[in-house]
Amino acid sequence: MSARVSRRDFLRWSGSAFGVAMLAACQQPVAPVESGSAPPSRPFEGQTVSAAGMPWMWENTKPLYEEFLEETGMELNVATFQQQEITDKLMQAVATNTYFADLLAIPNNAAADIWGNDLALPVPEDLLNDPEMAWDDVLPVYREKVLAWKGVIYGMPHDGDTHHMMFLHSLMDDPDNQANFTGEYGYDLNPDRGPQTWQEHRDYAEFFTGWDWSGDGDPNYGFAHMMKRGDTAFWGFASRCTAYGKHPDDPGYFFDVETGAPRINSPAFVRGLTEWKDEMQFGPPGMISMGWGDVIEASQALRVAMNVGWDGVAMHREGSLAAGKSSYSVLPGSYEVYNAGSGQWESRSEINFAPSLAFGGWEISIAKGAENEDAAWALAKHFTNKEMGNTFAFQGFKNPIRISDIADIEPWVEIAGFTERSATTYLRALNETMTHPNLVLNLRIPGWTQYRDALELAVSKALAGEASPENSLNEAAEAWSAITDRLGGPEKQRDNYRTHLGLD
Amino acid sequence: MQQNSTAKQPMAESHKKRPSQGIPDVIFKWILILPATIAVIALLIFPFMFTLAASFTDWHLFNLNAPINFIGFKMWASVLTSSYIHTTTWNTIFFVGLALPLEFLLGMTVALALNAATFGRTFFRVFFLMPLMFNPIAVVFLIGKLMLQEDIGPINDVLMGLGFPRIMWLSDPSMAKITIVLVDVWQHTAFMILMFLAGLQSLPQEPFEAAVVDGATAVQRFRFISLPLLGPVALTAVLIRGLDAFKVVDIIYSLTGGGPGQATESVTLTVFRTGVKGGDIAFGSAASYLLLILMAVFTALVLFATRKWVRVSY
Repeated sequence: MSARVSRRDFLRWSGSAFGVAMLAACQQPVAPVESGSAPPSRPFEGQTVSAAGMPWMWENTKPLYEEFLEETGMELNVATFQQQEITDKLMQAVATNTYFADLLAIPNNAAADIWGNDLALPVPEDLLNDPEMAWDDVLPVYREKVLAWKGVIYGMPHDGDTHHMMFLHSLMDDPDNQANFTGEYGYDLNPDRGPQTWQEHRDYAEFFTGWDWSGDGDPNYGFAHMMKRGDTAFWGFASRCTAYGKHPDDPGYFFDVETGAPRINSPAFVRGLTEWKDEMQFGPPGMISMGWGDVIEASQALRVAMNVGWDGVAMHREGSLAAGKSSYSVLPGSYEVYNAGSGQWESRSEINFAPSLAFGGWEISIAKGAENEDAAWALAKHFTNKEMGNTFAFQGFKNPIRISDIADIEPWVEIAGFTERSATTYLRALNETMTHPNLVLNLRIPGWTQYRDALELAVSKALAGEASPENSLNEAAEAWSAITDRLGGPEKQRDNYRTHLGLD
Repeated sequence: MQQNSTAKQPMAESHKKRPSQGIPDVIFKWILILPATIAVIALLIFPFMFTLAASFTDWHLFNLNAPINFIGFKMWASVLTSSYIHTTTWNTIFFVGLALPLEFLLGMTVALALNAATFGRTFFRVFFLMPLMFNPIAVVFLIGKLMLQEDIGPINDVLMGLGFPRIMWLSDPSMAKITIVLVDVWQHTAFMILMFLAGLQSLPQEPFEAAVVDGATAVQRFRFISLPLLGPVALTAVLIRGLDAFKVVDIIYSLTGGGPGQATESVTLTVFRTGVKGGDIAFGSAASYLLLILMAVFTALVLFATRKWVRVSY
């Protein structure tokens, strides 16, 4: 018998082996032979829930859900993606109506695309009435607006994002700084609340720029904001203009709620952008290239005295030089606000504050067509019930969304590492932001990625000096109108915007 | 004659069919070709035609329940008249026009040096090829985020210590264009080195020996022997690297996001932003065909230049 194998035999055998392997791979997995019925304590024995989210949601939090998996017998198949990647994948799944995972962590912006198109399941009645979920404890703006679409709650309360201002109270406390600032600007530094208007913010920024107040040998800067195109400039800019553009008597901010016309080239936004560009001289060189992470790093390293962001907790992480030195406040306001209805600026005796629910948070939703629906809801409940929600918040895995998250400074001091002063101002800032009557909601209408890109481009062009703020925002408004036309026209998007605001 | 014809007979039959195998050769060849054919149709021809068809519609992925309408060349017209696309097209041409010659010249210079080196040749070959082994995102982090950080980055620190002004590597629109090119040159010159080194080592030695006997200098040997003989390699390298450079997206996306403003946005990034992320399939498809046309023009120019100036065979 010859031991030689011809090339043809080799091809034939390898092809057969490949075919058998493929057939085997296509087979449904054989269910394990059960020796008896599953014990009642393991109700999801043999069921696998697929979940999609970011690494921070699943990797460092394992101790918080491993016991649950063990007790229920549930298998968890997690796919983790970075923030931008999961957003892209979710939106592609939405667009092509394809299955992505049972349990989804969705960016708040995508609510209209996912919930509005019936691609996720409403939260079941029994979960809405479940005492462990304590829905009354969820901040009303989330329960009634952010987690809902057309009055139906689709999102489980997980992450609550707001933009607030961080400032180093250690600098404002310094008697020399106080005396010098008062001498220069004619009013006192406010170590408790920081600058209260954008004009004051400019003064503070100017005062703390160009000298070494941190003692590291290098000159420091007044502030850092997220300005990088393709990163988080959309939210940075939106939050910079709210005080000018959000009139207390008008629910619209990005669009006119009656016509659906974009407002991003109104005098309010032009003023915000003009001032933002001018204030870049009080930020680190290259601030136009700074994204959200860069702002955190600059703040933690005491290179800047103030910032606007989501990340009070990050200031108190190990290695942060800002720990114990930072306080928080709602976004600065303005004594002047633009009235889009009359087309006039209004001077007010009280400061017009318009806090920003920027980004709005990552909400947990169950996809329509989830294979193990009950198991997926059980896991979602485990992640978002009151007790676990508090734990996630205090350990810094998500931002507060519940009243109980921001009710007491003690866990923030003992678990999150805040000082009492920092915790007090942090919780005050969050509370004042999320309960404010003139709060600006995060934009949630279909096609939000294109609106975001167009606005970020205009802002970046103006900041880079490629176009004037007015011209660049006019271009952006034209681009927004063109996007609206491509997505069904102004009436359709106006209706979506009104639904987003909870008006219809 | 008789012997010859009988000798050919079994050979000819063996081409047609081997009874022991049962499958005629002609069919067997098709069986072998079939997987590759299916792969090419599925992964190349179908997407190619699908994208072309999509560019004649108003298809937007996020307009979920709307019908898809055939709109002829309207989308092509909006792409060709879009100032946004004009800018990204010029950005792409600027990038290729600067990065490619730089990589070509640097690659050839280093390859000549490595070819002539007598000491540490292996070490330096690996050393110069290392950038090619890095992930582009890692390169962006290493060079863009760490080395070129404008406030506290080491390069600005050194330059300012020497009395130079601070360079806004990523924040100044003009400088950002150059920075993107520099990062690409840092990474992809290695490819040119690899190509030219392989070319130099495969050159015949006789012309060089004859030139030495005739008293030619090193420069003359390079100018009149090495350079013409390297023509085919140079053509291949320019074509591969040039076509790759037209599709640049990873470095730009992670380093500048296309900014500041629109200063560094390439056509590929525009296609990604509008078609993939934005869901505007029709616009993205038409824009991707614009890129294809650009690349076809580039290829034609290179081939034309080749026919005119490059000696294809030794």
